Amino acid sequence: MLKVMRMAESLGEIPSGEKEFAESTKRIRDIVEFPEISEDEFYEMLKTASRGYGGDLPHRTYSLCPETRRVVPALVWEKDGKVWITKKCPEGMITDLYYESVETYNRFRKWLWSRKELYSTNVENSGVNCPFDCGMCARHRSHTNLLNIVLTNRCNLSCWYCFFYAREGQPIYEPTLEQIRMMLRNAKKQYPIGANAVQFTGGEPTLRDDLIEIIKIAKEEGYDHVQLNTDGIRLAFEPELVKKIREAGTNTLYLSYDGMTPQTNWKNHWEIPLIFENVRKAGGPGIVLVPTTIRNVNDHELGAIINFGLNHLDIVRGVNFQPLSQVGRVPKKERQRFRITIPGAIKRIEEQTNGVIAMEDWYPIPIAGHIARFFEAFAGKRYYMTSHFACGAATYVFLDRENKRVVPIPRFIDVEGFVEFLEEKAEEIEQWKTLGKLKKLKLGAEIFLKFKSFYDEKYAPKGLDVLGLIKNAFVHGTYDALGKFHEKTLFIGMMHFMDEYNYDVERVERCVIHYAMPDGRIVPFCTFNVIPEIYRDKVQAQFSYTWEEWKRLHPDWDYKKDKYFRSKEFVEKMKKSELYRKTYIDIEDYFGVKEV
Amino acid sequence: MSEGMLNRKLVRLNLRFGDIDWERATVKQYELEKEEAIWRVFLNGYAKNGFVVFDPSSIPEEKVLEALGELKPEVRSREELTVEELIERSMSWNNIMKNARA
Repeated sequence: MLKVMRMAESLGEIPSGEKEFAESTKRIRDIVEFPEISEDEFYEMLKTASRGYGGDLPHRTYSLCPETRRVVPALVWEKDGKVWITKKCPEGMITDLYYESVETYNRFRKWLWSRKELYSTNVENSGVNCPFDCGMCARHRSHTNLLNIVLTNRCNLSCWYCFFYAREGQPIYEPTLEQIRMMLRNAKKQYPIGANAVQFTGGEPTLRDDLIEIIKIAKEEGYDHVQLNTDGIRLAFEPELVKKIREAGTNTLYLSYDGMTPQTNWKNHWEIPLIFENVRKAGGPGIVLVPTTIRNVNDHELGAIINFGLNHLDIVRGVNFQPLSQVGRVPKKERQRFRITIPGAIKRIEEQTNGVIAMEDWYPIPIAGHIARFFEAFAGKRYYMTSHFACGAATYVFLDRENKRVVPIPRFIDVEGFVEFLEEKAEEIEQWKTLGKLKKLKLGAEIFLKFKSFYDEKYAPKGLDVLGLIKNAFVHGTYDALGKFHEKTLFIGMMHFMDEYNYDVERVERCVIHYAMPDGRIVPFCTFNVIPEIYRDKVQAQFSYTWEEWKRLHPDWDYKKDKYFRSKEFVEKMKKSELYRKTYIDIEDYFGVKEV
Repeated sequence: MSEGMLNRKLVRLNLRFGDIDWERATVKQYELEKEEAIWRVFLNGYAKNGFVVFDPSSIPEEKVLEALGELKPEVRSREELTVEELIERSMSWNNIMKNARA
């Protein structure tokens, strides 16, 4: 029986999400019970805890006190099958959930990458005061995999929880084209491996009128991958803009998408059908849906979101879940209510996809480092994704349209066996003095032949040349080859950014997602956003225009015009539209999930 | 960005500390880093040295030294630079580690 629920929605106003969030959090499905640990027990465990990246549990690291911001010793430890982080702060003991499954933690730990991959620095700080020494400092271990550049703090929405966007009368942060070029060049020149992917973010980056020029600059500076972190609102109503940003070289729209209903996805539920239509008409860019994942709010919709992505596989390249980062001072009760970690989210996906995408189908991000080692030896291409093993996880799924079946890659490829084989090969190649063309061809053929032994035809999706796609990606190893692979599969990822409560300095020093700042520094995501008073907010204040300066420079600009007003008429029109129906209602259920 | 920002004059103080350890250095560094007028700071509790780069038009040198007072700072050298120079020095291609290897 269908249960009709009355949705709380902000219609006829600038969306802020306040009403929807209040409605979503009325009912609590489950909470996380944090274990008690005494000060004596803490110090006792700390004495014997392992040290150094990837040590056994209990493991000693450093964290941040949410109140005093002191750097304090912390313990990552196991209890009842879960992994916890506990620290002794000046105001007392603080425990939070680190990983919801010790089994997943240990399985991911196996794929850690410990070699340092960055030897250039932007500051003289040695890193001894990490995380206050950013950055990049000599202690940092990973080069920039994805560079973030904040284009503006103007935004078309007014999210109730956001402290970042400029309110009326507040300073406006908007780097000049010259500064943006400098930031891009700075990360590109990291040694020995420069950044190759950039994400323009905000605020809302599409509010900049010179966005096309900015995208072109990124391409000029040699970035293969350009993505826009956007709510997509402007793209819903300006099809020409979608075309222009695609033509300028944008590869991906990193599109906010928090759920399947107007309540869970209050930001752009009604606009999504228009965004999709405009992207289809423009022939791109590819879309990655980004659900911020919150326990008791939208964690019951994760499987449905993946199903939604699969139904729009012609334009949706991936779904990248981001378990909530509870930045700022958050009472324990709220943390217990909203905290979800990577294993918790992938467990829900397993349940909500009826086991089609299981926990075992996921791999930690640094497994890519092991593959990269082979590419470095084989093709001389260097790009190491060497984040901490606990930061992110991913898998790929194929859609077998003939049989309406979704098949995760590990079901028909022995991923671990193949990666281990590649590592052996890398070791072998590294011993050779030269790798001539003939030798390389021979080796390529040998690897491809051997690959077949890791491939199980029986379980592979039908109607797709999976072997051909993988061969192409491996033999050519280029960004384009990788792009072709992505067009046929759905990437499903997880990236859990930290907050003060689960902060682990060992994770920060391996961060691969960085922000370039206009003062010449490059800073890990989780220092930029978790300690904004010394990074994000401070530097943006230094480089902002005062409200008066901004108004003087932009006499025709009006704050209210930046804002998106969602009218009741628009929503009514969308509800009745064929486009809305096609986008959300007339879609396949690939996981056999039935509405209760 | 406010006009004239890049030409703004900054001062760098290279320091030696008479009474410092890692914990106090970290606490003090964080405290100074919060100040908008302080552009760079590093206090090394182990090597007992460090530096502060600040905007003297917003915070006088005496105030900076006063804030560091408990660590017993001694100014070893003083340098003037612009915001533009600070940014240029921070660029990846000027990195100290690579230069050290060369």
